[in-house]
Amino acid sequence: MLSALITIIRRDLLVAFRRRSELVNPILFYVIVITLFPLGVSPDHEFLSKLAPGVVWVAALLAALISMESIFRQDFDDGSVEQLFLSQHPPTLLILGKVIAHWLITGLPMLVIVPLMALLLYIPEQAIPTLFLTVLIGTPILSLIGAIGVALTAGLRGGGVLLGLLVLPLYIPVLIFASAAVSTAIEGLPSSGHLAMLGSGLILALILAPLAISASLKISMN
Amino acid sequence: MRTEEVSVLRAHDLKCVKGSTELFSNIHFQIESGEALVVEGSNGSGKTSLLRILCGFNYPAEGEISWCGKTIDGHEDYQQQISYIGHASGVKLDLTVLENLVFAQRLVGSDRDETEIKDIIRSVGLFKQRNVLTRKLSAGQKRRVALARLQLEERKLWVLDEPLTALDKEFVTDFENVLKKHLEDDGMLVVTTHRELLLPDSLTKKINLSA
Repeated sequence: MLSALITIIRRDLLVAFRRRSELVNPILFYVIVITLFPLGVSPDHEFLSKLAPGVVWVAALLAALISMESIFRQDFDDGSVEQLFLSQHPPTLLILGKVIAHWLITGLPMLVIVPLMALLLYIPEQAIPTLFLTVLIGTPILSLIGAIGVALTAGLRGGGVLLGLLVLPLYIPVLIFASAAVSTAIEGLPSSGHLAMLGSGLILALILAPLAISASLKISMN
Repeated sequence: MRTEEVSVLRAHDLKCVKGSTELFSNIHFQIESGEALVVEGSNGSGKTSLLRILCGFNYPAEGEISWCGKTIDGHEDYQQQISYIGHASGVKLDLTVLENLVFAQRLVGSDRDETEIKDIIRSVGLFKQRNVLTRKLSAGQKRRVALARLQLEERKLWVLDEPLTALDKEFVTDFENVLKKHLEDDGMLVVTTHRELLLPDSLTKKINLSA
């Protein structure tokens, strides 16, 4: 079981590594959106640090959205999706592996770069660990939910527009709790409540999303 | 790997509708271990749809398919008996030939070592290209990678959609021998093709979807 999970993660990472330009696209987008804010709105210290939690997370949501498409697009084109269902291993396990690989490609770089973004937006030092935690817990939820949307729209032409409409409303709770956690941390208040909500969201998504993705892929294949 | 008992794949009164057009209806057939079914029909007659229905990817509008007496809907390990090669053959263009096959066999759950995989690569004539990205191969060579996967997976039921596309004459002969060997080993085969495929007549059933 575990070896199958590792196999599919390795395969997807290798494929992603061979397509490096697609790899940097979402993270570049993320950095650009955040760096444009101080230029476009105001470089004022206090103003920015108030705006920062929202900015960091809205950018993360949009970057996740533009990166999602790649998770199943190629598999549909080259016939690998069918092979997922013929495998000896449960499709949900392999799908979970694909989502993990996708998170390693898109979520992890975000996680690495977010402390730097925090400095750019004058987020006070005491709030940076919380920000880091929200990204650590929140971005896997984005990948899991996004994958459901992609699985549903992969069989359609122009599915990209539909994907945004379908997935963004489901991203909103993540946005609310994550940015609220960071805001409270900036004010010096405990943010564990918001983090706990995010954490329970992640557990729920981890359990339910692979089932939903598997069912959606079956519908799209039909 | 293979069970001794005879397996039976049976389709009863299948009907397939795409949008508002009926592709085929009233399709019956039955094949047992060691038998092949050749599906014929003109373009758009529903050959691919029939194969996908057989694999459980699509659902028929009417009728049912059973494997060893049990309907495949909700059959717990029917799909694990199948090797399927469709028009999109499941080959990852960004992996090399060897990587493709190594990952494919791990996902089906067999654990052959690399020398065995290399032997199979040699048998489909891609040994020199084993470390070349599949993207850089010709259409026929990509097809060969997919067909190599068949031999690796050791599944009982092979469902092949136009396997001979883009293959050269010599390789078609080699491939026919692989198919014959598969049937001799009590395997089963469902195949669509527009080209002549030489299989033992006594073991081959044919249905024509345009008739």
